[in-house]
Amino acid sequence: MILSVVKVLGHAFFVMAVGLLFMGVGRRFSARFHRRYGPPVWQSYIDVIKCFSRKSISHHWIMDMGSVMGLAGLVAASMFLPVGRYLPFQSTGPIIVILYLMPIGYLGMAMGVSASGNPLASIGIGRALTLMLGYEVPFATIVLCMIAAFNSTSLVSLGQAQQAGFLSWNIITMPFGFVAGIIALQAMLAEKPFDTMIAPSEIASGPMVELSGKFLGLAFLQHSVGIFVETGLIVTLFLGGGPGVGFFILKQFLVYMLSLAINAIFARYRVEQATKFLWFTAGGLAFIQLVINMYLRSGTI
Amino acid sequence: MMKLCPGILNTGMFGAVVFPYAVGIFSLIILKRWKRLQWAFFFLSTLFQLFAAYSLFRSGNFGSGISQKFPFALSPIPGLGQSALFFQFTGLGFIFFAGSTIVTLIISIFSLAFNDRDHATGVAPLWTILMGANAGIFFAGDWLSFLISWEVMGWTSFLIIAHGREDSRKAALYYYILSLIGSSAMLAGIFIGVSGSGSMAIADSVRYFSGLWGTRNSLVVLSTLFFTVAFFAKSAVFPFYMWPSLAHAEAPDDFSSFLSGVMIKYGVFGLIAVVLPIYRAGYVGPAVHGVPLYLAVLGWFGVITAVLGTLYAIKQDDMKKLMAYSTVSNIGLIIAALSMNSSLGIAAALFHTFNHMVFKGGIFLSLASVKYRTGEREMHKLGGMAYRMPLSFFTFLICIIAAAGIPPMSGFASKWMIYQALFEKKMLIMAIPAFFASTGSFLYLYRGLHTIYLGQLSNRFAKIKEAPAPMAFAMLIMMFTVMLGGFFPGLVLSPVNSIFTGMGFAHISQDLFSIQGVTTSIRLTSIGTIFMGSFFIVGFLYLIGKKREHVEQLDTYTSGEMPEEWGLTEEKYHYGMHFYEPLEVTIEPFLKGTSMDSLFRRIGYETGKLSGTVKRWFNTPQLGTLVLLIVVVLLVVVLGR
Amino acid sequence: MLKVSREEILDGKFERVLNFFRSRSLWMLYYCTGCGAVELPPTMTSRFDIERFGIGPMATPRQADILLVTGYVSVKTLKRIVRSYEQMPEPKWVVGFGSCPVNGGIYWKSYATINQLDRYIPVDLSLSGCMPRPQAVIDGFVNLMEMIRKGEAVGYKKYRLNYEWYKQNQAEVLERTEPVLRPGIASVGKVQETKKKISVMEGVK
Repeated sequence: MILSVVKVLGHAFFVMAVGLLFMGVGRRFSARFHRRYGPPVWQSYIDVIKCFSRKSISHHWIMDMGSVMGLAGLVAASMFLPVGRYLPFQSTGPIIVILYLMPIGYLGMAMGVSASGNPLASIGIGRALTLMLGYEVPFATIVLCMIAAFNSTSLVSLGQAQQAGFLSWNIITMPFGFVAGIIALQAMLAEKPFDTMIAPSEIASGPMVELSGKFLGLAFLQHSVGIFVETGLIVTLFLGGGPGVGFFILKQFLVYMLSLAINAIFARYRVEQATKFLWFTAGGLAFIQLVINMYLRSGTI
Repeated sequence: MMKLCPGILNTGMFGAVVFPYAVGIFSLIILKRWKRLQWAFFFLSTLFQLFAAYSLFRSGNFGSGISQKFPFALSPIPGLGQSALFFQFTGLGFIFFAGSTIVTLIISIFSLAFNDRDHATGVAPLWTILMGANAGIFFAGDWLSFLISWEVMGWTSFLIIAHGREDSRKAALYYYILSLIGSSAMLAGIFIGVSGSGSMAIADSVRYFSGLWGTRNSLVVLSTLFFTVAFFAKSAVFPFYMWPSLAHAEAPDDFSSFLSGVMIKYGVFGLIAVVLPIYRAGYVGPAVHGVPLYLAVLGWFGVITAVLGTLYAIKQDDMKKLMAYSTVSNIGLIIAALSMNSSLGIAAALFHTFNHMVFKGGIFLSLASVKYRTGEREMHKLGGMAYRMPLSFFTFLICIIAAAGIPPMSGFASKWMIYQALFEKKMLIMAIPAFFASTGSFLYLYRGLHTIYLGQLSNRFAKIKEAPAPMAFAMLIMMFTVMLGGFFPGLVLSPVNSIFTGMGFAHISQDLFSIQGVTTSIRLTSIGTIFMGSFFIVGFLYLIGKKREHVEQLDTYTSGEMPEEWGLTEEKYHYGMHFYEPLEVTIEPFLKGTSMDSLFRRIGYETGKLSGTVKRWFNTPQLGTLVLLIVVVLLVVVLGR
Repeated sequence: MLKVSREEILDGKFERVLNFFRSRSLWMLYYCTGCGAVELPPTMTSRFDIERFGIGPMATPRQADILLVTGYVSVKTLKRIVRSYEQMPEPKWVVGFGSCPVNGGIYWKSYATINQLDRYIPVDLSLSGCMPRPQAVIDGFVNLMEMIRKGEAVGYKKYRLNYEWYKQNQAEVLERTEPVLRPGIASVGKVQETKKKISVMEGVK
């Protein structure tokens, strides 16, 4: 019992630490795109510690509760993600549970910033939720492709099904699904061209407009855990899940760098353009993959 | 003990149906002047029904199918044998009865305090009679008692929704006309069934229809179509999905929770009890992945309803209309699950039905308490209610977490099971709109939360108090039930599972903490515990940060300006209108193309013109005598044969 | 003048550890008050890149550590600067950019600007020049980071301890320059009173 509590705690802090490391390396990577040096790779740790060391303001205790709930949901989602075959407690790693625990992040943050009373925050949340409606369609279709092919939504068994070497990875066997997954990942991470939620000069950084001190620190941590969970999902679904923790993190890193590369090049979509693109282009690709998986693959249905 | 059992069942079912009728008529006639006492009698009659349910549960054996005749004999109807009015105890009917009675009891506690001098609506006696009809529908054994209860339910609900006001009357009329269309269609189906099977019992008609597969397929499909139209009209499935936004919104506030929670489920009960058994064992005909084609089309109607309900809800400005469309969307998901006609599908549908009863009841009770204190129904005129009414806010929050299908509340388990039911029958393309509808629910639920409860608190409402004690107590029970159902799904699923023997299905594998699906299994208690644990971890992180300072509500980032100097007030600063305008602009063409409202209005308009034309052909002063003459001639011809 | 005691200003041991982190990750509020702001884009972009020191732009005063007052401060802007400064949570620092916040710069005789920013909000670091080039800006920021790490940048504590003095100075300027015909606030009596004040001041000159 004590051991499982320690494992859960350790897993939570490990996920946060790796996520912050990704953010730091990502900033250096983006800086090289801009032909400059960029901050050191441990910059995000310093940022978070600085945030927690500042005093903060709050308009109402609901704001505190919302910020805590937002991060709690994402940490809970990360508990169900198998990191290279390792899980902090016995579970099958169900995708749908993870998919439905992630919106607690949105809901908690939304509740917290709504209680701050600034209308800019609510505009940002409205856009974020509309984008969520956009990326959920291709991502759900990808999950259905996995069901059509392997008849399972358990991440553990999906990872095991891709163990037969490089050619059995789903990136090779389901290419349309992979492209749709990368587009959906871009929207889940709120990177350009889908970052209309945090639009610094348009709506003064959207939901984060009244966050200061430890609330901003919690929002940072929420973003870092989100990076870990979402890239982890793509790695387990398409890139084979990794034989160990090290390879898993390496593959996550590659996926995150791909997403940052796209982020460095593109401008920002408006929210209705983004939703239409996600529904029809990404959703269309995923739908083609679903039809292929349901009717044209041998050995299924 | 065994001899006593049929006796207890006797008083149980008969009492559960007739006692509320008696109390209702009594309070309508005798207690006309003491309105508060009427509500107390309503509460007592519902309490008696709960006691009847409990005694039935203690004695009952859910697969036994015990029937019980009406205590006084009726003369046998010529040509139909001895099967007069009788009650049939089935597991399905009992579960619906128990669930609806528990939810209504909680709502009646709420109504005791809600109907004081300013807000009284005087609908208590009609509601009591409606509870009797409610029990009658679930326990009916033959078509005559079913129809009596169905019609009593129809006109009492019509009168309650209208409750003496002009615009409510129009909304109630729309609802009642659709309900009548349904009842007429059902009557046609009943006639075919009774004449074919030769008896009035429901079970006999179902058996007759199931036996017709292979010989007269088109007759069976036509009859089930009649029944389906009736149940779709009652449960607001496409194309009859526009009436809840009018009826639920115009009804008295506590009755809205009953409408959305309990009454809209009668169609679901009808489908499971009457239509689905026909398509079970003896089906011969086209099928999609093992599901009969008719049921697959039914499932598609369900997911279309779910999507349309979500999209309409995103557009709404009125909080009750928004929640009414949310009900439509959830019913669509239920219909999609149960059209799979498997044990997993029906279990998922029943589980979601009960979860929906509780969380939608909680949402409407919370909105009713806000309206009770402020008098406003438009969302953009409210704002900041959570700062003054924290208990209503928490009820609303917990219930919308369940409505969105987020763990660890109960809504997640039932939504997960609905998806598993679709996956089991490989209906994967049908699952895409289901995911879409489920995600879209976050949008309108957040809008309701922000616009009513958070944001800026207006000065008009700076001094309002929390809801009175009975209302707060009722909301607490709803909240507690939602959380309990989320952490321990077996509490609802075990009774559901045990009725399957009576229906001839295999059991689903579940226990108190977990559910076994087709693609994976989940353990809900551990999901709940993990979430609570994460909450504590993050709370610890929050506590090690530096102190926070409290600032005023209007002290926000406004680019360094001080807008109070220009006359900015809290009402102007609260963001309530045009919340999702980019999305509304995108989906507008789709909604215009599928709007049933304009179609029905067109049909009504054309029918009016046609009847006007016919009237003008025969526009003579002797119209009455002419009609009498024609009727006499027809009678002579018919009776003479 | 400023009355402040040494015990109130020094940091404790734990704060000195935190000062190291605060100095390595400074977020500045990008409030471009005057013409000096034109030297910020070259400093932040690829050629002179201050992001490698951990300094980055943030959108609102709630999130920012540094308030950058770039260039001259007109009396109209002073009100907004004071409001933004007070909305920032502690610890916070002010950098006066250019010669104008130091002594008025080339606008030292104007009736519409103020001459010494340090009298109205506490300035931790001044970068003189008109304008200072990006190399000077980076040199100044490195100095500021050093000051923060040593615990010498205590402007916010000075503000808290000498609040009345600062408010008095601010009130002098802001009352003198309140707009006469503000909609909804001005009344006939106030307009006449203000006109009398202006005539009195002109009589003195």
